[in-house]
Amino acid sequence: MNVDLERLNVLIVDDNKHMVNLIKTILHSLGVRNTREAMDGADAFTELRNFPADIVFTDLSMSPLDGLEFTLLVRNAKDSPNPYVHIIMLTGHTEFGRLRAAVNAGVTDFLAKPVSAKAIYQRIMGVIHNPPAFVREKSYFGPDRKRFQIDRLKGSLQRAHVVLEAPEENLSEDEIDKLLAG
Amino acid sequence: MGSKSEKVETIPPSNHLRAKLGLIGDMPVEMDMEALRRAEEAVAQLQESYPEWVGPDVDRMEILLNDAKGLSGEARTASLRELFDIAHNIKGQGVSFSYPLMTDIGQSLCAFLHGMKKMDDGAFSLIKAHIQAMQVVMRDRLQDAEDPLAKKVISELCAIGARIG
Repeated sequence: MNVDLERLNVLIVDDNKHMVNLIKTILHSLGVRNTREAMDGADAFTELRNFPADIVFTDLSMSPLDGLEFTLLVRNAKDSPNPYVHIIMLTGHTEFGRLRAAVNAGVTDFLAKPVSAKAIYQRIMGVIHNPPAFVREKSYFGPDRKRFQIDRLKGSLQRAHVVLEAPEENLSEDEIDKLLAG
Repeated sequence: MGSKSEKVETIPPSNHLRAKLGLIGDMPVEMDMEALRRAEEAVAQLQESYPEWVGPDVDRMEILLNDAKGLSGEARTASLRELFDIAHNIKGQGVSFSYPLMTDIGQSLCAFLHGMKKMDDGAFSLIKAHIQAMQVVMRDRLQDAEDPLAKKVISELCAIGARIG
């Protein structure tokens, strides 16, 4: 059976009005009726107080508060309206070096540019079907990062995966490809 | 990640979204291919009109560049900052609107502006060349990232930027 997305609340955070329009158009075409927009992380954090978002699609590079800072704030601030909200981060090729930081900030998933209707739909279905467990550690709160591990035995992967066993190392191109394959 | 001795509390996955959307238990759900088709059609329509959307942004970059030529100090920096922000947006969006050349040109321009040491006639000319390249891509609706001439132009822009930046 299909799922009706009409009741889903989605917040779009991007300072690029054309990208906001693209994502909003896709969401509305998929049946999502309730969308809000924010220009940066600070604006989005305020918006979350009034809008009970189920999913947040956020860009990475914004000012004054970027996507990483926004994610950290949502997950860890004492006055966070919803520390468990699903945060899906948009990333461009030039931002790959910041993927690990995004994982460690507490993002739920990634959406690589170019943005497509299918990729957005897949991310939505992903959080509906396979919502992550959350973990609370001394230095981290957010979705369980173990799910980003690459299962080398399976060979081909259908979801985003990252190796986190060696946090100081940069991601290899292969790992990045798998992470963004979605 | 935390050390092995660090206490870790695990909070199980929430079924909140499934319940909210009226899904019972582990009921399997498939993608609505008709909804996806509608969404892809809507995206195609947006892509069709992208040159009209982005045209004013590119024109604004040209105005900001001309302003910057006649300014100095903080006023010039502010103009170039706004120009950079527009180029950065174009870099981010071009490929999603099926204009990867816009992303490539935007990336070259951002890299140059980011590393620019002095604002002289050479720098002005190179920024102008980037803007003109974007205008040609929009005017001729060039969507093929592998277009040999376009690739050569962008390669030259990048090379000059690296040399004089």
